[in-house]
Amino acid sequence: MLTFAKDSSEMRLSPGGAVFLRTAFIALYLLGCASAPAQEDKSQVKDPFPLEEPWVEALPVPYDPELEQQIQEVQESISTLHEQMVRRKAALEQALEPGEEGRIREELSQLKHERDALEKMLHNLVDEARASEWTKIDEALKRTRRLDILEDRKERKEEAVRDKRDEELQ
Amino acid sequence: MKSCNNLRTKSQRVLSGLVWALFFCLFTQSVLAQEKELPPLTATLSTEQALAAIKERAKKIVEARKKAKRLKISGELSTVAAYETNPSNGATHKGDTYFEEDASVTLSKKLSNTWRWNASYSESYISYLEYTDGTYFTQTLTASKLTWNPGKMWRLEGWTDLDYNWYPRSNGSSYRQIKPVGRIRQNLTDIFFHQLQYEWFFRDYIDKSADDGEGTDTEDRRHDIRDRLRYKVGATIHDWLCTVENAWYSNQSNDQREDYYDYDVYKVTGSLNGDLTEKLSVSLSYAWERKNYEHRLVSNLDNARYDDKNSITLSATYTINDDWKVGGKVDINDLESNQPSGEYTDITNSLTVTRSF
Repeated sequence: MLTFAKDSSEMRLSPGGAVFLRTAFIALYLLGCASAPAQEDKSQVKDPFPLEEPWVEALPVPYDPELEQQIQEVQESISTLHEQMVRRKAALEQALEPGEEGRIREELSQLKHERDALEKMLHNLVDEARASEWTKIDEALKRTRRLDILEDRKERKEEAVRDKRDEELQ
Repeated sequence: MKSCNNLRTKSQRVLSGLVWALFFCLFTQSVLAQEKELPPLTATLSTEQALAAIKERAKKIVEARKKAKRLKISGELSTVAAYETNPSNGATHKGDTYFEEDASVTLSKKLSNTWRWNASYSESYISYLEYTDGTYFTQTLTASKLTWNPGKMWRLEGWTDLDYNWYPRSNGSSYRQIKPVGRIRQNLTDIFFHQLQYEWFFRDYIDKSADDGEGTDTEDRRHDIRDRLRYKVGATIHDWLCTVENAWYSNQSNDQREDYYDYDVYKVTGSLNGDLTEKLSVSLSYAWERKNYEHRLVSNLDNARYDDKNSITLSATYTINDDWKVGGKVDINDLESNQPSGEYTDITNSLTVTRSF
């Protein structure tokens, strides 16, 4: 590819080498074009079915353990709806027949409506959990409540016995 | 010529190799892009199926939240078998066995996200085999307990206990009592908390007259008034609860005989509670109590009497399932006094079986 002049102080590109380099540059260019992301067209209309990620945030532990479970169920439902919406949006980006496109858009609308209702329910449940937040301290004191009642009963019993005995000794 | 031909052949080979490499890269990339695409719609749930399942689930959750606000009833039944080394707290230790039956029922209702209402009733019957004076029956009614839990930090509770203690063989010890209680707790962090509790007692001895100070019974029944303040600090460390409580209370009685029942008490209690395993929980506590009698004199001395009581309690509870528990407890009480006849040591060993519903 590279040939050397007789005095080896000068390197010149041979014809084959030039072809090779040209071909390599073209190949690299084509590869770059193939992998480049499609540029967004800023003039497009606002997406009617925005796909926000499901709510991911540390949730308060509520007093009612059933409420905690119900919050998880609603989150799972929202995730399921989100997944269904992602599939349909991906399908819309493919070339579809007009009838099928209309059907998918209608399904997306139904899914969005249901998702919005569930998100409203989730907000209400989380507000309820936050208002009645249950801490480790509450749980620990609840378990010792019975011991406190027994201790109080024991004190009253001892007091009565001591008083009676002191009166007898007097 | 030959060299040019060779060169051309080499170039062709290089070029063809490059073309193949380019083709391979493009092909691989297209294959990878296809794998990132979502599977076709026919492989997913239909919209109607997905929506129907989700709507059904949401409907059940709404019904469950409504149900959570309804009145709830719970309760416990316990039976205890115990041996006490000195039930009469006398100088001569004469041990005795007793059996105890406990029952309690609790009503609770969520009034709002932060307010809850409770009412409870409990009763306990203790019967000794030989020390029959110690046999007694107690009932406690908490008609209304309100709890306010606004968020994570504050806890506010208020309730009134109505107690009735009946000693069938020793009627002079029987009394009824009303005790309003207020409690406020602040969770300082996720681990530390402190709590203040105030109690006011009015105790009416139903079969005992008050002494007029001259040794004569008056027409009034004896009644005592007590104020108690309890301050507790605690921490939860690795699911273990460690607390220290200081309690001060003053008891004043209308019985004028030497102001026998007027005294001040200071008590400090340290306790440790936690789970050794998933089903086995243990508790250890130590308490020291000083009771200073205002005017009750020590025999043959002009000093007012004081008592120092040391108590150690060790208990373990094993949870068999959601309904049944079995537990064991050891109680050690040792009272020292400047009135030697009042000193005693008493150790109680008990075994308890509890059924919850």
